[in-house]
Amino acid sequence: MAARAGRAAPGAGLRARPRLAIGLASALLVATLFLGLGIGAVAIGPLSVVDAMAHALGLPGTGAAATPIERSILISVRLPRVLLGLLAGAALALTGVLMQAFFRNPLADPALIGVSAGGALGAVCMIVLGAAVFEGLSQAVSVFALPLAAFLGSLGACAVVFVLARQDGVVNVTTMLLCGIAVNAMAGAGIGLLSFMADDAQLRDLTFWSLGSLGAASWWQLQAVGPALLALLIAAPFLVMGLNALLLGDAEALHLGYRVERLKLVVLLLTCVGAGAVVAMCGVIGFIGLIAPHMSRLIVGPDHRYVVPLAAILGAALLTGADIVARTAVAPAELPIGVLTAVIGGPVFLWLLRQGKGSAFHA
Amino acid sequence: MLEAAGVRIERQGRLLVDGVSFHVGAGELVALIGPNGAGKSSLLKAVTGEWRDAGGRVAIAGRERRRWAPKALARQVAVMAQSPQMRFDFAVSELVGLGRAPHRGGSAPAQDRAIVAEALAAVGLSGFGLRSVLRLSGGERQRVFLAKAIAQVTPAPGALPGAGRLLLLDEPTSALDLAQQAAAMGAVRRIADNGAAVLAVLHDLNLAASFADRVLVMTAGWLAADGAPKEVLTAERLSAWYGCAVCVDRRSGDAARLISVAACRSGRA
Repeated sequence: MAARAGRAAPGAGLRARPRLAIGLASALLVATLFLGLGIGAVAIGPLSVVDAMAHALGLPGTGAAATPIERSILISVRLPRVLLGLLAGAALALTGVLMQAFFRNPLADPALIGVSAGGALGAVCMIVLGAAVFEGLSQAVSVFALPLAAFLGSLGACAVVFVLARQDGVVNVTTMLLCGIAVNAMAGAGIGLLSFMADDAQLRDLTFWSLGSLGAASWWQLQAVGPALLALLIAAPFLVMGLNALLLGDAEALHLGYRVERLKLVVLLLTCVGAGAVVAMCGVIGFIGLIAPHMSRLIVGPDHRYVVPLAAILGAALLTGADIVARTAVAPAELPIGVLTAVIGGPVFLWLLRQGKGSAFHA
Repeated sequence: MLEAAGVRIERQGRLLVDGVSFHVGAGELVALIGPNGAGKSSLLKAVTGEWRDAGGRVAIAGRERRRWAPKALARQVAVMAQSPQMRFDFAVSELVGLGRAPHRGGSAPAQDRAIVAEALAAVGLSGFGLRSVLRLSGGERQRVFLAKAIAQVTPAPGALPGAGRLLLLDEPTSALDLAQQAAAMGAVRRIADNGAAVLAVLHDLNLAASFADRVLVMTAGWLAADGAPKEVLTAERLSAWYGCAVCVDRRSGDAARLISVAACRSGRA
C-alpha cells in the first residue's frame, strides 16, 4: 500500500537506512560539483580539476597537470560559481525545511513570510530609483548596492510580518501566514508600480534579476553571503529535535521541554537571513526550498535528524545541477536559473503529489 | 507530587478558573470531571504551563513550576493533550520516541528503543512501530500519544514507567471504544501504581468511578468536590452539577457503577 503510493514505508528501503541515503546523496553532490567545475566553454577533466584545486591549496598535484588558463578559469570563474550554487542551494533547501516545520505544513516555503517579495521590492527600488541616486558613483558601489537593497528588503518584509503576527510575546502561526499574504500583496503592488515607472533597460534588468541567476558569482560575493549561509548550515543541525517537536504543535513542543517561542524566533531569524542572503545574491529562485525537503521526506521520512542533512545536500546538488544546464543549454547565452528550477521543479512536484495520492499534503 | 493553590485564570475578561486548590500525590490517579465549559482543560493548561498568565501557585515535586528548567520539567512531567492533527508521515515508533527527547543523552538509542517498545506494549500496540501515524484510526492514534507520554515518564531504561513522575492527561479515552477505554485506563492505572501521580480530565464518569482514587469536580470555574468516587459520584450531586437527571446503578458493588442519564428503573443511589 505504502509502496504503491510511491513513498517509503517506515522501516523499508532507504527509510530504514537514512545514513546510506545521505551517503548516496553526498556522492551525487560530489559528482555534480565536478561536472559543474568541468563543463563549460573550456572543458576540464576531473583529474585536471583535482590538480588545479591541489595546486591552489599548495598540495601535490595529480600528475594530470592543468594548464595555467584552466587553473585561472577554475579558480576565478567556475569555483566561486559552483560554491555559490552549493551554498545557496543548501540554504534554500534548509530554509524550506525550517518554514515547513514552523508552519507544520509540507508545502510552506520562505516566500510565505515575504522574503522573496521583500527582496524583489528592494532590488526593484534600487534598479529603478537607485539609478538617479547612484548616478556618477563608481560601478563597484552600484554592484554592491543592489544585493544590499534586496537583502534589506527581505529583512524588512520579514520584520513587518513578524511584528504583526506577534501578540503578547507569542507568534501565532496562522496570523503570520495571513500577514505574509498581505505583505506579499503590498510588495507586489510596489513592484508593479515601479515596473510601470521603469524604462526599457531597467525593465530588462529587473526581469532578469527576478528570474534568478548565479552568473554574478565572484569571490567577494561569496565573502559577503558566505557567513549568513554558513551560519544557517551550522545552526540547523542543532535544531533538529526541536523541529521534530514543532511538527506536533507548539503545545506538544512545550511539553517536551522546548522553549517554543525562542525556538520559533531562531527559526524565523535563520530563515530571514539565509533566504534573504540568497535572494540578494541570486535573485528569486523558486522550488528548491519546496522540492529538496519534499524529496528528502519521501526518502528518509519526516525525522529532521535526517531530513536536514539530506535536504541540504539535495538542494545543493539540484541548484548546481540546474546551473550547469542554465549556462550550457543555450551557450554562450545563459538561461535564468529561476526559469529552469520552475520548469523542472513544477512537473516533478506535481508528479510527487500524484504519487502520494490521497495523502498528497502529508509527505 | 502536584500541588495547586489558588489557581485563577482570567481570559478576555472572563473568569475561567477561580481559586482552585488541590493536590495529587505519588501513586494516585485523580480524575478531573465536570460539565463542558467548567474550566477543566483551562485548569490543566495552567498546570502544564501552556497558559503562563494563570494566577496562583503550582508546585511539582516540591518546586514551583516556574522555577523548573524546561528540559528538567519535561523529564518529570508528561502531558497528553488532545491529539494534534498530523501532516507528517512519522512512523509510530518515531513519534513515541519523541517522548524520549527530553532524556536524550541520558540513555542510549537502543535503550530508548526498548522503552518505546514497552510503552507501545502497554497500550496494546505492539507490532505497530513501523506503521505510519497517518494510516492509523483515531483510536490507535490516541493510544500512540498515550504511549508517547508513557515513554516520557519512564525515568530510565529498566525502571518502572511513571515512578516518581507526573502524568497529565486531557481526555485520554475520547476516541476509544469500550474495550479500549478500559485497556487504556488500565495502563494509566498501572502507571499510577508504579508510583506516578496522574491527573486525568475525563468525561466518562464510569471510567472515573472504576479507575480513579479520587475525583475532582469542577463546575463554573469552581472546585465543587474533591473526594473518593463513592462519596462524590452520587445521583443527587451529579444531577445538580450536570443539570440533568442522573442515576447511579450500584447493583454490581461499590467500585463498578453504571452512571447514566436515561430513565432510572432500579438501584437508585
